Amino acid sequence: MSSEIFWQSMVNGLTMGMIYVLIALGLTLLYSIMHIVNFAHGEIYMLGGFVSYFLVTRLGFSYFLSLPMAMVVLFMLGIVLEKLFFSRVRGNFMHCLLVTLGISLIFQSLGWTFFGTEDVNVPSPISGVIKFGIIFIPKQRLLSALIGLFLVGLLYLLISKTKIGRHMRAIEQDSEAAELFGVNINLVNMVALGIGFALAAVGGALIGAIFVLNPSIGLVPMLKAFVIIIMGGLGSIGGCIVAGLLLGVIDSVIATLLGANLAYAVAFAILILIIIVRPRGFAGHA
Amino acid sequence: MLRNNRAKYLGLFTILVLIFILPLWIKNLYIIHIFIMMYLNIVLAMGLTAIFKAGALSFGHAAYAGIGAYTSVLLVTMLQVPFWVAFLLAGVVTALIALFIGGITLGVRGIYFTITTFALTEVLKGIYIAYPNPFGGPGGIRGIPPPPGIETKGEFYYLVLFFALISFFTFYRMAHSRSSFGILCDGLKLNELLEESLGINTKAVRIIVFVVGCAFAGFAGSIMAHYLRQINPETFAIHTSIDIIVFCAAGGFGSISGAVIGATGLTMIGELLYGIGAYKSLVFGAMLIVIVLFLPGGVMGFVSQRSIKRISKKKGVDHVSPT
Repeated sequence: MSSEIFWQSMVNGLTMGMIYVLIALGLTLLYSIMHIVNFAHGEIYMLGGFVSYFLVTRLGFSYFLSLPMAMVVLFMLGIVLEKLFFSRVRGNFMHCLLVTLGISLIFQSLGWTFFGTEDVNVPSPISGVIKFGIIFIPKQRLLSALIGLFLVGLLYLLISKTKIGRHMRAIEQDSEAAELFGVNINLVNMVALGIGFALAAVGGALIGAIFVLNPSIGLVPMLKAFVIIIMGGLGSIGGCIVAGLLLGVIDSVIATLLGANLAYAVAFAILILIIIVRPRGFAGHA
Repeated sequence: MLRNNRAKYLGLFTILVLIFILPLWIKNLYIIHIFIMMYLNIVLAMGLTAIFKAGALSFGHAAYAGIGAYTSVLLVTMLQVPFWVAFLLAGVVTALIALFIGGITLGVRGIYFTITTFALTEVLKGIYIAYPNPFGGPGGIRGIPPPPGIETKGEFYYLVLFFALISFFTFYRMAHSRSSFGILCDGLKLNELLEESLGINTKAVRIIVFVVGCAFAGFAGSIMAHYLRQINPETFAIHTSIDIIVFCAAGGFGSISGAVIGATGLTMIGELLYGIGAYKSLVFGAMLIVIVLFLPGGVMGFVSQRSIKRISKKKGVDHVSPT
C-alpha cells in the first residue's frame, strides 16, 4: 500500500467515521437515557435518507433544506413511536429489544414496498474534489463531516448547557431520583428519542448523497454503531466520537487492504477485544 | 386432576402417532418438506427459548446453525469424513464457538451479549462471502451429498423427527421448571443475586444453557445443509435469526412447549406468505410488537391465563393474574 492510498483511505475513514459518530451518538443517547438498545436504528437512518431523497427529487427542495427537514420528520416519528410503543415497555429490557426489532422489520418491509428495490442517490448540488497535497477529498464528504461535527457540537451544548440536557443527565444518573425532583421523564424520553432518530436521519441523508440508498442499507452502519458505542463506553459522548473516528479509519484502511467483507470481521474482533480487555470502553463509567 | 392428565397424555399420544405415520398417508412431497423444515425450526426455537429463559438474550441464533452447516459440509466434501462423524463434529465446533462467545460476553452487561451475538451473524456472513475457498463465496456450496441411506424426503422426515424428539426431551429436561436444572434456570430470572448467594455459579448455568442450545442449532444446521443439498451465506443471515426470535415470542419465551407451538404455527404462516416475501417481515414485525404489548406470555401465556381464569371462576376465587 503506497502512502498516497494510505492517506487517502485515512481521510475517507475520518469522513465516514464522522457519520458513524452521528448514528452511534443517537444509539448511546437512547441507551443511557431510556435503556433502549434500538435495533431499528438502521431503519431510521434509511428512512432519513429516503425522506431527503423524496424532498429533493419529488418536491424540489434544495438538498441543504432537506437535511433539517429529514431531521424534523424523524424527530416526529420518534415522538410517535415513544407514545405508541416505548412508553409501554419502559423498564423491561427484553420487551424494549423485541419492540425495536419488530419496528425494524416493519420499516424494512414498508421500505421494500414503497421505495422499491432499486438503488437511488440523493442528488446533491455539490460536486468535485478538493486537493490537499497528495490526497483528494470529495467536497460532499468534507461537507458531510463538517455537518456531522456541527451537529455533535450542538448536541454537546444541548446536553451540557440547557435545562432539558440537565434533565437528561439527571435521568441517566438515577431516573427515580430525577423524577422525585420534578423531572418530566415522559417529556425527556420523547425528546431523547426524537434527537436520537434525528441524528440517524441526517446520517442517512448525508450517506445517501455519497453512496446509494435502498431499504436494506441500515444494517451495516447500525452494526458499526453498536461496536462504536461499546468501544467508546456506553453513554459517553466523548468516547463515542473517538471510537467512531477510530473505527471509521480502521474500517476504511482494512477495506482498502482486504475488502469490505473482512472489515466487518475486524470490527467484530475489536468488539471482542474491547469486551475482554476493557468492558467499559474508552471512557465509560463502570 | 387425574382425568385431566390422562386426557392430556392421550392427546399427546395421538399427535405423536399421527406425526409418525404422516408420510404414509401424505404423498405430497411439498407438505413433507414443510414438515421437515418445521421440525428443524422447532429445534432452533426450543434452543433459543431455553437460552432466553436463562436470561441470555441471544439475537444471532441462526449464526450457530450456520457454523454447524458449514462445518459438517466442509468436513464431508473436502475431507471425506463420514456424515455421522461430521454431524457430531458440527455440534462440537458450534458448542466451542458458543463457549468462547458466551464465556467472554455473558459475564459483562447483558447488552454486550445481545450485540455480540447479533453482530456475529453478519461477520460470519462476511467471512463466508470473502473466502470462496473453502466457503463457496456468495453462491454458497452446492451439490452437498445426503447422509448415506437417507436420500428421499420420507427418510429425511424420520431422521429429522427423531432428532427433533431428542432435542425436545433434552430441552424439556433442561428448561422445564420441574427439573433440577430448570429450577436453576428459573432462578436466574427471578432473583439472580439470591441464587448466587446460595452458592450457585449462575454464570456457569447460563453458559451451559447457551452452549447446549447452540450445539443443537449446530446439529440442526448440519441436517438442514445435507437435506437441502446447498447452503449459502444468506441461509443463516440475520433475517433467519429474527425469524427464530419471532417463533419464540409467539410461544411466549417461557416454555419449551410454547416454542414448539410458536415454531409450528409460524412456519405454516411463513410458508403461506412465501410468495409475498416483503410482507412476511411486515407480518412478523407486527406480530412481535403485538405479542410484546398485549400478550407478553405469547400463545402459552394466553392459554394459561385463560385456564387460571376458568379454574378460579369454578372455585369461586378472585382472578389473580400471573406475573
